[in-house]
Amino acid sequence: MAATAERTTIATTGLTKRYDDIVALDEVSLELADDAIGLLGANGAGKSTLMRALLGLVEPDAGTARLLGIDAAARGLELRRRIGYMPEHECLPSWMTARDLVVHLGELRGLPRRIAVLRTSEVLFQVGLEEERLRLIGTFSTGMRQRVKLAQALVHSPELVVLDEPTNGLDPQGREEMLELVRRLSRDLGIRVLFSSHVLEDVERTCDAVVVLRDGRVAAQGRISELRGREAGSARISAVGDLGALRAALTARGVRVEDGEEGWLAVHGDPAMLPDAVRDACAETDVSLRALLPGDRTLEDAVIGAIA
Amino acid sequence: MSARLEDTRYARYDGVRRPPWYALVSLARWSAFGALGARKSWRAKFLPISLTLIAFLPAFAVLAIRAIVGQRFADRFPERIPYRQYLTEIGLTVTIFAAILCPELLCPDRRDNVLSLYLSTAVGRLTYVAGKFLAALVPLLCLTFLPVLLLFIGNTFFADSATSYLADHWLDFFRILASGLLLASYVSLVGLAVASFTSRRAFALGGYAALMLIPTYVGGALVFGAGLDRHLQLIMLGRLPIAATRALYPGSQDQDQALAGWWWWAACGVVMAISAACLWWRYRRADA
Repeated sequence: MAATAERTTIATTGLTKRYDDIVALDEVSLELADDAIGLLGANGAGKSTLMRALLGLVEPDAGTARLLGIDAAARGLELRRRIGYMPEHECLPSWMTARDLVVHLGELRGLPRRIAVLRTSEVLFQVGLEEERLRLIGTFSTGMRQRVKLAQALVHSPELVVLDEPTNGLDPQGREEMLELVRRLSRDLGIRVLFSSHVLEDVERTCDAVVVLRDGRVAAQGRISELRGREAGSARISAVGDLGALRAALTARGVRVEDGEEGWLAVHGDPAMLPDAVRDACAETDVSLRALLPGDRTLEDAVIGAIA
Repeated sequence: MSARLEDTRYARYDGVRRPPWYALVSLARWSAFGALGARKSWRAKFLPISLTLIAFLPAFAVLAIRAIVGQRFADRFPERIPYRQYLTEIGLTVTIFAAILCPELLCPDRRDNVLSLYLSTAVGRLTYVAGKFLAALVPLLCLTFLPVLLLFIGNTFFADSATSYLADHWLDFFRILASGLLLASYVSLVGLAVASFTSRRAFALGGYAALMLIPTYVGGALVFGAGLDRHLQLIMLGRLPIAATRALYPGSQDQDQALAGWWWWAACGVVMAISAACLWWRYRRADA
């Protein structure tokens, strides 16, 4: 039982937080154990409040929040020593060097000084700031500051890092690099990631599971592949030629045909027979098949469907 | 000659971790170094170093003269600057040092929103405030305790019989320690309390100077000028800690004794309690 709780990344039950008349979180209940979890929602959906509640920085009005099986309200300090947190807002001291800040924050989380110095070199190398480690943070660009924030969140070897909108304010290249770094955390470095963003593509590229928030409520949650809802026995085809004859030939082979978007046809039938039926129908009607794709919904479809 | 391959990949760390009090020490150390000008230009270091040297100057002077002149004035020189008088001589220096140090400890954190970074890591509000207090207290003790301790050690060293001197003056060591702690704690708490109200160092420095100087001049004018009740001396915030430290030594025969020592100590305690309460109040709801 304890091992299960330890393995769970996020678990909340009935988590509610109000700011005067505004309900920031409305009975949020989640349980996810994936290595990379995205929090997705528009600005004001409750992502930051949920993160802060999970970190024990916000006292909920009702419900419980657990991160890595640790009760955030009761053991917030202990929790924050074990995890890394990259805040969204500007919070770096302009008068310190990147190296000094990361060493300092490593010490605050319990690393002995010598270890903190060693690990600071490692994480600054990992985030691409090794050459700039002795520069004052006040002279850094936005992208470099974001990297410093990520480095300080990693220095103490956390089991999980909480990243609050890490791509905010970055130019396209910086955003690409940051997303690649985030993906590497869970994929290569074995660090679990909780990643918030209002950009769906960012979550899709970096996470295995997603929680969609809308107006403080959970609109959808689960593994991204499951949310896409792959429909067995469905496909989308794009073809050039007599599409009427193709439809008739497909129907004669027991395939149901629907009009899709922008000239695509959606076809549904026996999963084992569908590709052969499409091939044979195209050959029979002399239609050129340009594309045959699985009938997945995109994550966007799933999210729109969930919040509609 | 052998080559070695270094693995620069990110590695997990499962070794020993320090207990939470280590965060307090780390916060105090980094804060103090930053406020005293570490990793900054010489201009940032100039004032702290100069003021520290000025605080040591009387001790250096007395001991140098004793070393040069020798035993002829051995009994006279300690009385040129008795222990109870030392902090009076450097009181203004200590006040200026605190006025520079305390805003440097708190204002940049507020300006750059660093407090939220600390609070979202492993540092609670109480640890933060305690760390900043320590960061002010320790450097200030270098001015209020070490010079007098140096004088005490020098006097012991230059005495005809060091053991006899120690036997006669061992209580002075504790008075020196208590005086240094009292003065350093007082100016630290008042300085930090004032600085906690603003993110602008200039405002904090000005506010601290006004708080220490204006009531002191007003109180002096009322008691010594207008001849009003001598208890009005207790509003002289700049003079309170000095008078309280002097009252720790027996045989003081100056104006401070117009009030019993416990009046000064009580007044100091009240000011320090109010300052600590202000500090706590300012940070109890600070956002993470």
